[in-house]
Formats: sequence, structure tokens, C-alpha cells
Amino acid sequence: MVRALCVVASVLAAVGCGERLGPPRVRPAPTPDTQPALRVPGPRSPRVANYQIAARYDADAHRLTATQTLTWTNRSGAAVTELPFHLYLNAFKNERTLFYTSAHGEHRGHAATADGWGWIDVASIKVGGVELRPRSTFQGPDETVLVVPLPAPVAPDAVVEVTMGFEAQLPRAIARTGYEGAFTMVAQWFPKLGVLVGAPGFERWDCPPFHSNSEFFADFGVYDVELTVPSTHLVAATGVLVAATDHDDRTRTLRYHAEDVHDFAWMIDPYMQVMSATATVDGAPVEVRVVYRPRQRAFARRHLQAGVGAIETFSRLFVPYPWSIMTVVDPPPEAEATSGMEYPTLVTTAADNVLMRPGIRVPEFVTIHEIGHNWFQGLLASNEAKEAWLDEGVNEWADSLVMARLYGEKQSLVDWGGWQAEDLRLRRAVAGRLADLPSAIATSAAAFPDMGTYAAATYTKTAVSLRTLEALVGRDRFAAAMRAYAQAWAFRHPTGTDLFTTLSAELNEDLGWFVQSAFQRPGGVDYALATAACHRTRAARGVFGEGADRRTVTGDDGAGDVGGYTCAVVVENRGTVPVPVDVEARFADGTTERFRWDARDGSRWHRFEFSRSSTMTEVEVDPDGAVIMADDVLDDHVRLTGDRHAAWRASARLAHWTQALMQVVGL
Amino acid sequence: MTGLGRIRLPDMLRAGPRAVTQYTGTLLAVYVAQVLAAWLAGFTILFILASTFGARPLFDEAVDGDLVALLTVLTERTAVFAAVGWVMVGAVVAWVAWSWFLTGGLLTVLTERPRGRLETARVFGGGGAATFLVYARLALVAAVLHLPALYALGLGLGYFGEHLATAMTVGELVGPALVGFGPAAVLAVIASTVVDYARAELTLRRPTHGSLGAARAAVRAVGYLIRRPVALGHALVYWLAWMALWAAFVWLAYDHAMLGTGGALALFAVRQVAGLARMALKVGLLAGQVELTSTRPPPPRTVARVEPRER
Repeated sequence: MVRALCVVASVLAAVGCGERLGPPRVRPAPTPDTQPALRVPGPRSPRVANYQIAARYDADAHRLTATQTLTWTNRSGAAVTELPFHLYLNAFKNERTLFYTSAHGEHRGHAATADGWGWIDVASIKVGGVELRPRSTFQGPDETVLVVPLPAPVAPDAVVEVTMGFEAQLPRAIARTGYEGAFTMVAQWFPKLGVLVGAPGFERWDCPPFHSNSEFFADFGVYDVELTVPSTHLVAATGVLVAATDHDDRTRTLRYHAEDVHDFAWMIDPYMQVMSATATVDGAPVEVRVVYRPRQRAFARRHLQAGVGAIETFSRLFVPYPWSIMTVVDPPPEAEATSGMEYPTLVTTAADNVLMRPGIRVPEFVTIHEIGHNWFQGLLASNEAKEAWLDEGVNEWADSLVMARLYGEKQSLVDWGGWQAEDLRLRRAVAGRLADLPSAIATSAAAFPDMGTYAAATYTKTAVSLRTLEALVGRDRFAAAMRAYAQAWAFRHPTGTDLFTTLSAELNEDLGWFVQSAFQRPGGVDYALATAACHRTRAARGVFGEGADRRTVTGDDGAGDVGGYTCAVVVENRGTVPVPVDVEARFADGTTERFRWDARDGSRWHRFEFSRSSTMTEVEVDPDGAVIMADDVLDDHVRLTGDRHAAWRASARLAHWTQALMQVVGL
Repeated sequence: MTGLGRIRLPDMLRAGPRAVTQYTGTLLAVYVAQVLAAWLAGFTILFILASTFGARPLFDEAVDGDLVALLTVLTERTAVFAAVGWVMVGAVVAWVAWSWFLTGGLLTVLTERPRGRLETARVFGGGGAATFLVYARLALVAAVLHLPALYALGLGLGYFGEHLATAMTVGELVGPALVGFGPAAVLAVIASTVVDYARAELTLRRPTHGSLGAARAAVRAVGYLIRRPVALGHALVYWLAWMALWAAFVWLAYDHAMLGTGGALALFAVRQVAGLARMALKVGLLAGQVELTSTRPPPPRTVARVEPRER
């Protein structure tokens, strides 16, 4: 008996612990990619900041030893005397960094661990053979920005070459980077130059310290990166693999090349496998790869299918994907802190879980969202720290289009067990009152009061505001305008102003009223039906005329009843965004009547009055659901006479559940 | 059978159908009482929902299965649904207290085996009233007995939750589910069986051992379960049958569209049949427990010596 119990316990423990990975084995050297970095060769961007990096990775210590040469061209209108570099890994150096203090100890549910600090130590900085490290200083509240004074000003259009030697300790997985078990995501790992922004001749460096809400911003360039890694490990990286050389010490050097990108990230893991498929863009192939652990194979197939669909659909909707490869990294669940992040030509996805049954398309959504960032930030390289909504929120809006095209509009996110839901509408439903958010959408990431407000405003509110605008101007017109924006600003650094200027020009409409109220100020849309009632139409009662002609009409004989009904509906917008809206009244005879209220004239409410032969039964504000950003929509559709049928059905079901509970805990 | 030999599991199982067929009316009466209690809660919920959502067509869509409408309604009227939840909790708690009376009545009927409706009703009512307070005290003991199960459930939920967060397939959850919830389930079955046998003894020995207390009955029940594991086996069979019944109900009610008035009536019928069947299972369980308890040696008692009075 005891032996049998032990066997059962062993089996249960084995089942509970998942897969056994075993010791890493040496892998054959990967075959270099045959395709060029860009599908259509030739510079697409100004290639301001070009990096050559050679790094050796110690997989046991999770440490990198590297040298890099930055070749930077001054594209500004003024001479430059200093170069500021982001040292992002120093954000994880201790709990006094801006990152940890602003994150209040944890980032998206992941806290720092006592043994998992990360840092980057730049030992040498040389320009023209002159060692500049001793003169370089940290700027800001921590060590995430290092300012290097140049020995001589760099004139407009001049080029400077900066050689740096550095050592980087990766943290336990947090904020998109680091290691967890054997899996390692190496992101934001090298000294990265800030960006000159501003009017020509008056540019200034944009290189803020790393805040927990903030993401990234960098110039386009060419990256040539050599990685020396254990030959037991699989590497996936930005760009294409151009060479692989094995060494005698069970290491190999992999050389990657990427063009017209503004970042370089890579993943290394001894257990990952690769599956791939081909997307077609402009008739040419784009290889889509998913790297995954064996137990995630079923989800990897879903990510691959979503990835191919995303590359093709985003290309059709906006601008064609310019690179030849897209790699989707599917991190193991324990490395969740590295998941759901975008880098040029490489993204990390998420949401592999038993609860995500086929038809619950959260894993697909994450893949589509991250790949979508290769347009909204990868190509349209906006400043994520200053205008996070411009990549996250615009991308969310675009994701909903792609999801609808791939999976059908009504069931784009959920089509399971008889339930269906469109992604943006479902997320709108659970987002609560957007009008109550204390910050405007157009708020820099570090200026939001907390992560929740940042996420609600940057992602959901932006996406539903754009969807509202889309419904207002027409879906096809809006799609054409957004395509024009993407084409005009690809491989540049657009701002929110650039987006709306382009949209206004393309749509030939002044969108200022909407941009100011929806994006630049807190607030929202909150319609309400203040009055919805009918009364029978009849002749007026009272005393009429004078002298001999005076008569009194009492209405008691029914003679005053002229038939029909006089109805009134008063609609209010208790919010701050004056979006025009349709109001539909339905009548007992089955007819309907629509009215439109345009509150852009400054009115806060509007009364509709009408006479009909039958009484009104229902009134609905926004019957087509066009104003998806509206709050409290439950009250926007009312029935004039109560109907208990649904309440009966719901209470019958709840009574049955109550009885079932009674039977569990009582007789 | 009673007192004629050692009771085995088949004997206990056979006692169930026998009791259900012999006291069908009692079973139906108890079931009707339960339905009425549930419906009372249902009508309260109906009042809340109808007054809040009667004029809101979005609620109709939510009830009809529109996921977005459902989430919208839940998000925008959270307090209403909290109130509905508390109504349900209140009804269940009230039913637990009412169950003390009903269980006492049922056990007395199954012990004394009266004939005829009137006599059965008299025995039922008398038994329920007589045991109500001692059952209430036993409920306090039962709460203590269930603490280990609750503690194990807490640990198990944590363990299962960790695996749920990283599981890729349903198969990966089988082991963690058994490891996580198995101990809590076993402890809960043991605790509820102890309470059941304590109740059975309190009822059975009431005529001769009026001073038998709840705590002592519970302690004796623990000892008895150790000596006669068949009692646990019997309870296990009950719970397995209970779960099978639930699975059949879920398959019937949720895997088949029931639309329109006919569908609503069919769903109502399926729910009631399932509920009645679960109640019959419970009565069968009690009958088997009474069968076994009747073979237990009675607890010792102090006999007062009375000297004959001299004339």
C-alpha cells in the first residue's frame, strides 16, 4: 500500500512539475541567413547612430563584456559639445534608482530580488584616441544617463566616432530584460545615445533618466553586432545572422547585421526551438520565426499564424514591412517579466496558458500588438517617454483593425464556448470611467500619477478615442489618412502634433476640437438621457375668447383628444468631449426615428420634440455604438416601460445556483 | 438487518433506495422547503434586478450571452451585483441553520420508521425540534473540525494557482489539482462524515441518552470512523455520485441550447430533476448512516440506583 502511494505521489509530482529539460547540449552552428537585412536594399533612414558591438556572454554569471564603436552624424543645425548615453541597466542597480522609486518597489507585478541586481559599468570612452571616461558624469538622480564631453565640438553634418568598453550584469528578469532560469532576454544592454530634438539650429538632447513608466527613444542606424556565446545556446536577435564561427572552448561567435533600426535586442536560451513560416509583403517573402520551449509548441503555432497575419495586414494597412525577418520570442512562463515587448524585427510575446483556449485570442493579440509596434515606434519612431500614447495607443487602435481582419470583427478577441467579443469593445467594457482619469492622454510617461492611470490613458483611452474619431469621419477616410501619416513619417520621429496635422490635412477637417478635448485635457464623453417621455396630444383646455365668444374647454368629453402622442427626449453630455451623436427613438408601431445632436456648438444638452401616431417605447443614444469612448453606456439606452423578462431569467439562474450551494453546505 | 450482523457497504447503499421509496413524501417535502428557500432568494434577486435593469435593454443582451454587455453591466453596477451576492450568501447561511431542523427530522424518521403521513409528519417535526439545539452546538464543533480542511484548501489553492499560472495544457493541471485539492477534499469528507455520524448518534440515542452532548458525540464519531472505515467509503460513494450527477446536469443544461418558452420550461425541469436527485442522494446517504449507526454500541451512561420505597 505504502509503495503504491509512493508511486502515485511520484507520478503526481512529475505531472505537476511539467517538463524535464535536462542538461544543455551543444548545438550545430546555425546557418547564416541568406536574405538581406532590408527586403529592398538601400538606406531608408538618415542612419544617424550606427553601432558596432562585440560582446562575450558568460551564461553562468549572466554577464557581458563588450566593446562598442558608435559612429554618430550630427544632423542638427548646431555644433554639439557633449554626448549623453542611456545606461538603462543601471536602473536595476539598487532600490534608490528612479526606476525603483517611481515603481514603488515593483514593475508590473515583478519586484527586485536580493540576488538579481543589474548594472552596466563603462570603463572606457575614447574619441580620437582621447580617454573621456574620467571627465564623463552621470546626469540626473541615478546612474542611468552618462554625459560624455567631447574634446571638440561636432559641427553640423560632421561625424564623430566614440569607442567604449563596458561590462554589463543582467538582472533577474524585470522590466523586459534579464534572466530567469536558463532563459535570458538581453535588452537595453549597451550604452545608447540620446536623440537631438527641437527646431533646426535649436536642438537639445532628449535623454531622460529611466523611469518605470517610460519606454525608449533612439535614432535610426545600422547595427553590426558580434555575440560570443556558449555553443549550447540558441540565440535570436534583431536583424539577420551573417556569420557563425565555432571556437574550441565550446563557444561560438554570431555576427548580426541590422539596417535602419533604432535598437538591438537578443535572446539566448539552451532549450529553445524554432518554427517558421513565410509572410508575403508586396509579393516578396518575409520570414516569420517563433522561438519557443518544447512544451509551448501549441502556442508557438498560434503565435506563428498570428505573426504572419500581422506582418501582412499591417503592411497592407499602413506601409510595407521593410525588413526581411521577424522573430517572435515566446518566453517560458517563469520569465514573464521579459514578455510582451517590442524591438526592431524581434518581439517577445506572452499569454501562453492553459486558460487561453483556442478561440480566446489573448496570445494572438499579444503577438499582433508587439509586431504592430514595428510600425508604431519601429518605423514611426516617436518618443515613448514623452508621448507613449503615440505608439501604444495608436498601435492598440491599429491592432483592433488587424484582429478584425484576421478573425472577424465581432469575435476578434473571443470566440469560445458561445461567447464572442471584439477586442477593443471588450477592453472598453472593463476599463471603467475614462472621463475620471486624472491625467490627459497627452501626458509624458513619467508624469502620470500611477501605472494604472498611465496604462488606461495611454492604451485604452487613446485607442477608443481614435476609434471614435474613425467612426465620426468614416472608416475608409480615416484608414487612408492614417496610411498617409505612416507613409509620411516612416523612419522619422513623429510627434502627436505631426499625427493630427497629417490627419487634418488628409481629411480636410479641423480636428482641433477633438484633439484638445480628448487628448490634451482630462475628461471624456458621458451621455445621459435626462428626459424621455410621451403624452397624448390633445387640444388645449382652459378659457378662450372674451365676451360672448368666451368658451371653456374642459376636455372631459374627450373632444379635445386629437389622437397621437407628443414626445420629448432630452440628451445631455455630462463629459467634456463634444462628440456629435445619433439618438434613435423607437415607437410602439415598430417605426423608428433618428436625430443627430452636434454639441460642438457648445451646448451641454439638447431637446428633441416630435409628434407621432403611436407612443415611444425606447430611446437609445448612439445606437450604432460609434462613440466607443463614451462612459456609463448602460444608461444611454432606456425602455420607457419596464420589462422583467431578463431579470426573471437571471434570477432563475441565480436561484438555481443558490440552491446548489445550499445542497453543498446544508441538507 | 439492524443489529443482526456486521453492516457492509452494500447494505448501507441498499438502505438509500429503500428509504427514498419508503419516505418519498418526506423527501419531496424537504425538497420543496429547499426550493422555496431558494426561490425566496430568487425573488429578492428578481426584485433587485428588475428595479435596476428593467428599463435597461443592455441588461437583456447581457443575460442573453453578450459578453461585452455583461462586462459593461457588471462594471457599471458593481454594487448591485454585490447586493445580489450577499442575498445568495444570506440565503445559504439561513438554509444551513434551517437544515439543522430538517436533518434532525429526517434522521428521526429514518431511525423510528413511522408509518403513515400523519405519524411521519409528527415524528419528523418532533425529531427536528428535539435535536435542533444540540445540532446547533454540533455546528460549532463542525466548524472546528472543518478548520484543517479550510487550511488545506488555502494551501492547495496557492499550490494549484502557481501551477495554473504556468500550465500549458489541461493534462499539466491534473496532478496539481489532485495534490492541491485532494487533501482538502479528503479532510472535508472526513469532517462532514464525523458530523453526520455524530448527528445520527445524537438522534438515535436521544430516547436513552438524553445527556449525550455534541462534543462527546463528535469525539465518539471520530473513534467510530477509525474503527469502521466503511463509513468513509460510503461517504466517498455519495460524493462521487454527487459529482457524476453534477457532470450530467452540466452536460444537459449547458451543452444543449434551450430556447424560447419550451426551452425555458425544459431548463426549469432539468434543474428541478437534478436538484431533487441530489436531495435523494443525500437522504440515501443519511439512511445508510442510520443503518450503520444502529449497530454501534451505545455510549455508556450512569444508571441511578433507586431503592424501593418502604410501605
